[in-house]
Amino acid sequence: MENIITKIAFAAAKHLESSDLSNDVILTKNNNSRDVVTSLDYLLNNSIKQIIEEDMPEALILSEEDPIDQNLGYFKDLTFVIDPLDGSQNFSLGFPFYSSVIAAIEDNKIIASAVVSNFNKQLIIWDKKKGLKLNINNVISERTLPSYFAYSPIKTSVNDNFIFKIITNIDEYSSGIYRWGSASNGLLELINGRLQTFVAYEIRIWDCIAFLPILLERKINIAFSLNNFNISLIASTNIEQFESLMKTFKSNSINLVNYNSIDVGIKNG
Amino acid sequence: MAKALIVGAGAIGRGYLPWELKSFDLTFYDANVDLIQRLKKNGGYNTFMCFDSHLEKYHVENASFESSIKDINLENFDIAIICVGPRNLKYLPLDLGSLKCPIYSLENDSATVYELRNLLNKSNIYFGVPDVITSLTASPENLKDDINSLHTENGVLYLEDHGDISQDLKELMPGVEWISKKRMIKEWDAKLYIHNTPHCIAAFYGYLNNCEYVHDALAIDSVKLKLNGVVDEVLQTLKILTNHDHDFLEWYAKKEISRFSNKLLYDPVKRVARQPLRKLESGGRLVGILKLALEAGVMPINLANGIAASLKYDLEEDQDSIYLKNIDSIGIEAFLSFMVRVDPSSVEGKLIVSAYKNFKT
Repeated sequence: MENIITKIAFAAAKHLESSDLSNDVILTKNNNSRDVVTSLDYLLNNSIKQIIEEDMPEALILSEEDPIDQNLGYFKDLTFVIDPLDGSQNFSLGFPFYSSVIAAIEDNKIIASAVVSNFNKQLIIWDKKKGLKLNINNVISERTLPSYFAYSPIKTSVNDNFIFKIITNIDEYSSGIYRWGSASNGLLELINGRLQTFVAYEIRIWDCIAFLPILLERKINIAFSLNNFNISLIASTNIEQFESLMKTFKSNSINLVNYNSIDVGIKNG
Repeated sequence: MAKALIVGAGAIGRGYLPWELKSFDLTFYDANVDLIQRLKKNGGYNTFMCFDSHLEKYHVENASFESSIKDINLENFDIAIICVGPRNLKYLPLDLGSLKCPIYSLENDSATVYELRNLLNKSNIYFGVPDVITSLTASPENLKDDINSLHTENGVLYLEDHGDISQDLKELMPGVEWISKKRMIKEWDAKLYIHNTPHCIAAFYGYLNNCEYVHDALAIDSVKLKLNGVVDEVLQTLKILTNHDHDFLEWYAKKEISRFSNKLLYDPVKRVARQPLRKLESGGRLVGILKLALEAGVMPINLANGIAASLKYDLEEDQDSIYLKNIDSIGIEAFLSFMVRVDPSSVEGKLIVSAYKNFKT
């Protein structure tokens, strides 16, 4: 698995480094102007899938750019979960915050993952057997830092009162909300020590599932809930804020599970 | 008798340090259970030191060998020395924080001192430089007598003295040079750039020429010529950019190639070349000195070729081979960006890209 996840990460890095593709929007999805597709999305998707299909043809692929087949045994069978280009709108706008995010899941457990970010040329590879390889050093700051709040461009069960509670929590515990229009870049900045908390409410699974073992290895508190391929997630270096957010989610009937071991199951509820 | 704890029973720990610590009862801690069991079973091991053209044997038997930190009483040591390799520091048992004695990091990187202070929550941790080449193995005939034996140069151990090291301890280690932080910087520049840079490049060329030992690589004229070029570039750079005495730098540089050529050392290419990505870190012995050379106005052709050679080091058993064997799938430009953190469009990036693309063994 280490070899294939490295090859995938390297293929993504190659295209992120050298892309001279047009950043025109080819398609807008889900009837939402935030949810755009560019040529780079397709190039990355095809390159990553090609590696998987050549090296592990039996593996399932769950990609942002392809339809979901509800009949397949995602996660129980070896499944690659891919967001070829997280932050497509940033790419289309000429902002540097976009990444490729890939996770491999088998027997409902994450066994490998990779994150490759255009911004600061950050690359992380995690493999169950070999552990973490990353070209960044995370710094745990004593300062109060900002928090990131991610929410889906697709209609969710969100209600204004719940959103207000999250924003209130962020104001109370941290130094304000930061957003880069890319969940993966938010999570990377949490690992980089520039944020203290990342909160996601019903975003797509491929946006952040790859980060779970990486955050765990960096000793960051994590809790998540998975429902119909949507994920809610809290990741924080501030234990008081983490616990307070857990209560906020619970009061909205969302019970998050602590991801305190790589053996915690990834099951689509 | 005074007691010393050696954390890491590898080349430096097992091969060289006992020569400097002959007045101590030694305890070796190493997580390699097989190695510790062998050492225990044999009741010690042999280390051979090179003196000119002959080897002197030292049978280390005044020692205990442990693979579990719980089996070591950490209360009574007079000095502890850590030499496990920079990438292994994070796996050290936190119990080491309960040591009362000063701890020295011989990890080829002064930043490891701060990493260790954080990890062990302890302040009296200092930097040391073992200016020595120590092999992780020995000649076939010495291995026949003792599978755990190894060969070492007669080197010099520099240890930082911040004023809190007792005179008694210093007297127990007469061969050690106790030096100030300022002098350590000078010794470190010399060691890192004049020694470590050509040493690892020699090993990369050795690998590409199918050599088993570094001295085999130095026997190839074209390799020796390239290494002389590397040493020249490093020497010119340090003369221009540092305040170090030029006689000192020239003295140091002059002995280097003959050190690597020492046929008594049996220093394996794969030991010296190991973990090339660590050696490629931006301020380090390869890219770091290349940038300094450019800053000094020195054209680092041989250094760039040495870096290209490091990028060709794809020995299957090496920790970094997974990345280096896939270098063509990412492309050299993206590899530099993401894995080495060098902008391929910078002057140093262009030099490395060109050297890599035109590289001939």
